[in-house]
This record gives sequence, structure tokens and C-alpha cells, in this order.
Amino acid sequence: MEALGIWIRSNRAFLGFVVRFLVTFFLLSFLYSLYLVVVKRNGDLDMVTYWISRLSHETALFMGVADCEWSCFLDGCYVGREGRMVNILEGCNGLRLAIVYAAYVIGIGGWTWRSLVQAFVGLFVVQLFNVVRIGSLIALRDHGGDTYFFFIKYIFGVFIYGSIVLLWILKPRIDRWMGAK
Amino acid sequence: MDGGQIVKARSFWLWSIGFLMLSMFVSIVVGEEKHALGFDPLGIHWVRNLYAGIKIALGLAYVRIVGFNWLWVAGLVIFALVVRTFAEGTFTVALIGAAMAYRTLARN
Repeated sequence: MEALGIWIRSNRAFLGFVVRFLVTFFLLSFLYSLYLVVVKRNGDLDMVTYWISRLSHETALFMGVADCEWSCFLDGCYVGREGRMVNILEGCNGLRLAIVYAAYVIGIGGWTWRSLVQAFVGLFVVQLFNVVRIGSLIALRDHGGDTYFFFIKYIFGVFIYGSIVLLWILKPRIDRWMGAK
Repeated sequence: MDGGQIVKARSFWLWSIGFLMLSMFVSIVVGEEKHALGFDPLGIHWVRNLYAGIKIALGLAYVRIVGFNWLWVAGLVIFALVVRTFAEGTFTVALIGAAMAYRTLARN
């Protein structure tokens, strides 16, 4: 028992991170799941998937995809040229990944205003990366075959996960920029 | 903290990026097979177990290689599995995040 107490004391900093991370993660996940239940009960599509697909459609148009179509149903949205559409489901909207990002930021920095601002802004930054990723995939699908599409999908998959790790790496700099000692 | 002797920054980031890319590759191959086959191969019990086993083995190897001792390797992988249970597709990033957090907090 004493050994456990010593172990907890010597690893207090990391255990504090785990507790803050999990509390934030479960709280945000619970709120999002609750929202999805309400939306499903009302027979609607969730607004995150709707806006991600809509902005991805705009990005694809901006990248020069002619005749780019966009249609949403209860289970997700379809964006792209007829016959080469990309299916954007709730799981593709990147919000659960953004929740993990926010939980890490609060886990490391605690429930301070700096962490909360970073977590909030980070949610939008991660979504921005996701919109660029999906928009680019829609645009690039028109230009290549299946192997090319696989390669691009892989690179852009790493891109969205890498963006989260990059934001975590930049966190100490952002803290200093926000006035932390 | 007693998690182990963590490798130097350059090696840590190289291993982390390598693990992320390898893990993503496995996920995307499975995702593409789903389109090619017309059904989800993860619906088959043994394929799902094999896929989960590969991901967990990659995770175990990653945290061990960056220097954590076996007790911490087990703890970090369990942490990532808990996160992944509630948010699909987050095992890899949760594991890298936990390793990064340990490294950052140990340094402070």
C-alpha cells in the first residue's frame, strides 16, 4: 500500500494528465453523443457533418472541380462529380479526433483559460485541416486512377492525424505566445 | 517519474511519425478493401481480431521502442484502448499523445 502511495506521488504529474484528459474526453464525447441522439430522433443530419461536407464542396469547387454536386441524406453526404463521389459519414467529420486534441490540451495545461482557448480554437483548426483534406480528395479523385487515389487518401489521412500531433508539438510555443512563463 | 529512459527528441519524433504512418497504412488498406469487396471485412470475426491485434502490436512496439518499461507500455496501451472504445480511429493518436505528455511532463 505504501509502495502504491510512493508510486502515485512520484508520477503525480502524469496521473493528473490522465485524469484531466479522461474527464474532458468523456464530457465532450458525452455531449456530442447526446447531440447525435437528439438529431437522430428528430430525423436530421448532424450539423458538423453537414458543414464539413458543405465546406469540402466549396473547397472542391475552388480547386476547379467542374459539375461538383453535393447532396445530404440522413446517414451522410455525397460530394463530387457524378460517378466519382466521395461519401462523407458522421465518422469522417473529424470531431471525435478534435475532442481527443482538446482533451490533450486540457490534460497538459489544466483547466486554465489558456488551455480552454487553445482547445476551442483547436477544434476549428482541426476541422479546417479536415475540410482541406476532404476537398482535396474530391478534387484529386477526378485526376487519377484507384492507385493514385489510394496514395492520396493515405497521405491525407496522415495529414489530418499529423495536424493534431503538430498542434500538440506547438503547444508550448503557443503557451509562451499567450503569455505563459 | 519512473516510466523508463525515453529516447532523445529526434528519435522520439521519428518513431512517432513512423508509427503514425504505419498505423494509418493498415487502417487505409482495410478501408479500401471494404470498397473493393463491397462489404466490411471487419465484419468477419477473425479479420477484426487480426486487425485489432496488428494495431495493438504496433502500439506496444512503438511505446517500448521509445523507451518505456513494460509496466508503462501496458498502462499506456490500455489508456489508448479506453479512448478508442469511445472514439473510433483514435487509438494511434491517443497513444502518441500519452507518450508525448509523459515526455513533456517528465522534462518539466
